[in-house]
Order: sequence, then structure tokens, then C-alpha cells
Amino acid sequence: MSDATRRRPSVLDIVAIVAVIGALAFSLSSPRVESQGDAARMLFIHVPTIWLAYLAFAVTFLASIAYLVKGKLRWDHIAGSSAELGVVFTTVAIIGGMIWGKATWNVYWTWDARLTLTAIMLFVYIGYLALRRAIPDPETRARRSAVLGILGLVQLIPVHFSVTWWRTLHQTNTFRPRDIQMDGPILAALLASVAAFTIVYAALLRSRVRLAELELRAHIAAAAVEGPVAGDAVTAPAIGDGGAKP
Amino acid sequence: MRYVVVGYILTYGTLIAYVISLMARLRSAEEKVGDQG
Repeated sequence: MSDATRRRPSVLDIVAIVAVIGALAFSLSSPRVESQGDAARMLFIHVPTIWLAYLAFAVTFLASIAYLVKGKLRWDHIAGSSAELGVVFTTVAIIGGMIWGKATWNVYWTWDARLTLTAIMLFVYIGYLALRRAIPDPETRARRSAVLGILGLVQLIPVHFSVTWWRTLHQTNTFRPRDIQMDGPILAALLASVAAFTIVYAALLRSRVRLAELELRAHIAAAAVEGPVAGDAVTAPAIGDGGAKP
Repeated sequence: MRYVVVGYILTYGTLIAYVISLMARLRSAEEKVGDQG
């Protein structure tokens, strides 16, 4: 393998590692929350990861629109990569939320509006990733998945506002700019975690987009070597000559 | 505290597993493109 194709860790990768270690130390050393005890420390993972799930799916939405407008596969790579990261962060948010739920509600799962809608959102985006894997042609895959990438964002509205629209067991949104009820050190730890995980998202998105570009290059190179498949070699009969050959 | 320890291991573990899998896929794709080039 040549040095041109091998990627070395970037400054962003190193900053992401340092940031996440810092956020971990910050969240484990923050003061206890009297009402929830140590279980509140799970919120330093749960809140940033669900925020990143929102961000990742919003990026998929915007990149899908950009692909349909501009027609460049780079936008499709960003959309697909961000959706994959969104699925990972939603999974982590659900795991973290379940552990926090067991410690505070004494149940891992309940069919609460927020939890149920978040699970549905996860399955829709797993379906989006499955759709991408099912279509080998890059252009067709990009066009069809862009439509789902745009429609998929509609779910974010009921997911986010479910805690205010319906009476739910899940607490209301943690970030309420006009009504902050957290102590300073806890709020600082939470914001540090959000910032650190956002840097991690940016670093992972960069790597995942590079993977998508390499996969496209491999696909083009393989298609050039293999030549036309058997189906392409079959020529449709000419209409109007009665099928007669000279 | 038991839930916090389990929760941190599961959540950070999931993220680390994804990063390792992404790096492995990236390396494999780099090798594939390098071989073709």
C-alpha cells in the first residue's frame, strides 16, 4: 500500500481523544446531584449522545438536499456517513438512558412517548443504512437514500417535543436556556461533555467520509477491470426490421 | 455507583468498538485501493 492511500491520525483525531478523556475526568469528578445521587453522572453521556444523534441526522438531511440539488457524490458520502454515526450515538444514548432509568425509575425500559419515539427513530435510520447496502450502483443509491434522508428528519420534531406535548415519565428537556436549574459545576461538566462528544463526531465523520470515498474508488476500479456484465452484452433487437439480419 | 460503572463501560465500550471497527474498515479499504492502484 502506498503512503498516498494510507491515512495518518490528524490533529482533529488527537484533539478528539484528548477532549473525550478530559470530559470523562470532568464528569466523574463533578459534585453529586442530591436528588439523583451518582446516577446523574449518566446524563453526562446520555445528553451529549442524543444531541449528537439529532445533529448527525440533521447533517444527513442537509447533505441529502445538497446531493439532490448539486448531484455530487461527496454530499451522499456525508449523508450516509452521518446517518451511520447518528445510529451509533442513538444506540449509546438509549443504553445510557436505560441504565439511568434503572437507577432512578427502577426499570430499564417503559413505553413512554420519548423512549418509544427514539426507538422508532433508531429503526428508521437502521432501515436507511440497510437501503444503502441494498443498492450497489452509487448514483441510484445516492438518489433513493437522499429521499429517505430528507423524510427521516421529520421524526426529530415529535421525538424532541414529546416530553412537552404528552405527559411522560421522561423528564423535560435538560437544556432550557431561560430556566437553568443546574449548579454551576454540573452545568460546566455537561457542557464540556457536549463539546467533547461534538469534536468526536467531527473526527469520526471525517474518517467515515474518507472510507466512503475509498469504497467508491474501489468500486470504480473493480468495474473497470471486470468490464460489462453478461446482461450488458445482450443487445436489444432493432424494432422495424422484422428481426431479419443482413 | 454500580449502575454508573456499568453504564460508562457499556456506553464508552460501544463507542470504542465502533471506532475500532471503523479503523479496521478504513485500513482494509486503503489496502484494497492501494492494491488496485
